[in-house]
Amino acid sequence: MWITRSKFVALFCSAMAAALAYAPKCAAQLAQCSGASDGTNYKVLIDEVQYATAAGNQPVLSLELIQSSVEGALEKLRRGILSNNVPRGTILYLNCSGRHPRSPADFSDTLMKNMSANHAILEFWGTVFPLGDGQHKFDIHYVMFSVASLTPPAPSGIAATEKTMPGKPTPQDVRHFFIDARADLPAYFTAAAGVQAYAYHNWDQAVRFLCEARTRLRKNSAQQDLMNFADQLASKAAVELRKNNDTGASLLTNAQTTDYCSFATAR
Amino acid sequence: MLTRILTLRFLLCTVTLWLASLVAAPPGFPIAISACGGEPFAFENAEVNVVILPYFQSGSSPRQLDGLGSQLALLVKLETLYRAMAYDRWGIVLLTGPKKECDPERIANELLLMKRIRPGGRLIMVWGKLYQQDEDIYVQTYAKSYRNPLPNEKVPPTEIGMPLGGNVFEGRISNTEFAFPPEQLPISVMKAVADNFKKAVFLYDAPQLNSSKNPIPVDQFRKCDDCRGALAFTVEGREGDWIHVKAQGGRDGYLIAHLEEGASLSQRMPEVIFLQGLMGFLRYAVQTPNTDRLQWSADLQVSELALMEYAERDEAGQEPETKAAALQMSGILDFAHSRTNFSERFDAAYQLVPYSSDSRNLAAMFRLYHDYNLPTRSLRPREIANDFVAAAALDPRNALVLANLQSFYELLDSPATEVRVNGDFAIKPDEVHTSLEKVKAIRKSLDAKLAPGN
Repeated sequence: MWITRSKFVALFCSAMAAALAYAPKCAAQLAQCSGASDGTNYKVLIDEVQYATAAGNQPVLSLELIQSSVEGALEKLRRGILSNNVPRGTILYLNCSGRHPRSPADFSDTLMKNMSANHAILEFWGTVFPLGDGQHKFDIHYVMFSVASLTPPAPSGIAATEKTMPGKPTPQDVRHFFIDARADLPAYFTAAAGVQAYAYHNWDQAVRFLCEARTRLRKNSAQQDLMNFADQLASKAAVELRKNNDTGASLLTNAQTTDYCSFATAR
Repeated sequence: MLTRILTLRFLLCTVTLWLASLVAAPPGFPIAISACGGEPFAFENAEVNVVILPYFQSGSSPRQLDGLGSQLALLVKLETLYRAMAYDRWGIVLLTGPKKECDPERIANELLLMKRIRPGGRLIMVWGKLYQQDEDIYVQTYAKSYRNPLPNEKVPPTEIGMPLGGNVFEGRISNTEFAFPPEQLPISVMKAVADNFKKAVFLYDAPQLNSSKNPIPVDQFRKCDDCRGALAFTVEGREGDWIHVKAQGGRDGYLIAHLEEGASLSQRMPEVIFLQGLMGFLRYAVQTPNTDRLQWSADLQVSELALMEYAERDEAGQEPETKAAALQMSGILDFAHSRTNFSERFDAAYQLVPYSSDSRNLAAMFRLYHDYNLPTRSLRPREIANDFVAAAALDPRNALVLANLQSFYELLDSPATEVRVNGDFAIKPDEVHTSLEKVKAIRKSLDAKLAPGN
């Protein structure tokens, strides 16, 4: 069956209209997170971890407990941020009570860009799903706003880690999974902060964050694209740094600059 | 009630007056309890001040945890005091108060700006969080070290200076802010904390739990809105698990500082071992001029052993940055004493944090020292130059690394070095000269950018 051009346009427009009608609805359903649009501090949004049930979602783990795990993982990054061209800057951890995206599709491009412009670096949430036969799946989703705001081709800026469990996980199981997965947080944080520093032409901060990100991401086989992207962007930032001949980046040969982070972090 | 208030005011005034004389001419080991609010307190003439804040509850909890947090802070203070007895010229302060007043960053900034920490003096801030999940309580400690710069000081001194071939290579540890692994506190441990606190919150007349005793008014400072003074003691010595102190008016007393009953704090919270090492490191390793060899002493050995003990704990692996810092500090202490090769500690630290410029710099320095001095080794200039260049790539404005790279090229340029070079890894003289000029130009340009007015 042939679809005429006018029919295609009509169908496309209907689909777009439906999508547009749905998108604001999704965005509207995403609970606001207090403090997400204030000030110039880097922000990490901590959403709810919920059991997905037919009757509606139920919280699994207190936000405070999640926040503590996150702060432990991210505290170490503060020094790098504070010492490098972000006067009096710090990382704010926002407990987004009641906020639990249904999926990454809840984040429109506009929302991604707005969040990135407001210095939101990372957002994450967790969900426990029943799989049948008593099995459950627990997943954690991460959004790296600056990466997700990039024009394709670029990594998606959305990452996830998941675990299947033989029974319904207890809060203790969920907490252990968070601890096991907490190495992901600094990796995604540095990747997103590096991309943002690059966007602001803060070249030396960009290479620092991006080389740290690629080193941390190397341990995560599912994030090869993001690691390669961090590598390439760091090399581009290094090219910019070398133009002024006033930093250590100028000491690298052209070949070393092509693979800047590999050279800088391997021995 | 009025009598109690007047007594309290009298006590605080007396303490404040006594404290004023103490601050002007402090003895070797002062300790104090004071309030977070108002002007924060520290001992001005101490080389190292350790300021411990209460552990606060993070978020809501069915159980009120702030009381436990204050108890824990006092026990951490007393354990730190017990462990600090090997050192001299320190002060330990326990600040109490509500969460909004006990912000570590604000207190540290005020202590530094108000010159409560003398120029060149060191400050270690210790704080932490408690949170509850079901029946379990978790504790997590953080620490950060600061140094008040000397007047007109342009660049802070480094933690190690390594003289080699007429040049001095300098390095610093890769971290000054430390996160420690969260620890679960089972009910039995919380009970032990509460029981131990009940014993520790007294000044005893003799080093025996059944001797007569007077309460330390910790709560009065916690509730005090504008306390300008502190309740301070001078430490006379240690007798077993007891610390002999003199209270105001010269009255003798004893604090029980090391309570093993129920659970040892260091077993449950290895950070107290790290703090012991950090205190010794800051007190001794960075006070000596860089090119002098440290006078090896029991103090340094205590510090080095504590840092190694922390690094060897299983839990330390959860926070690789802090473990790397422990390895580096212990390596620096050992090197400063013996000049023997401890490069493997710096290599291990680098493996933990391969993205740290300062960590790579230290590993490069010790590889250089090792290869330059050991008769069984030869210098591999290409590898070492790559080490320093990689460190510069990780932090393109790291002036310390650039200075070391310049020193390294100058070292290669000397005839004394030529005989130590492994020919397979040599750098041609022309390339050495070109690279040297390039590094000099970069440093000059960087200095010009960092100069005041730019």
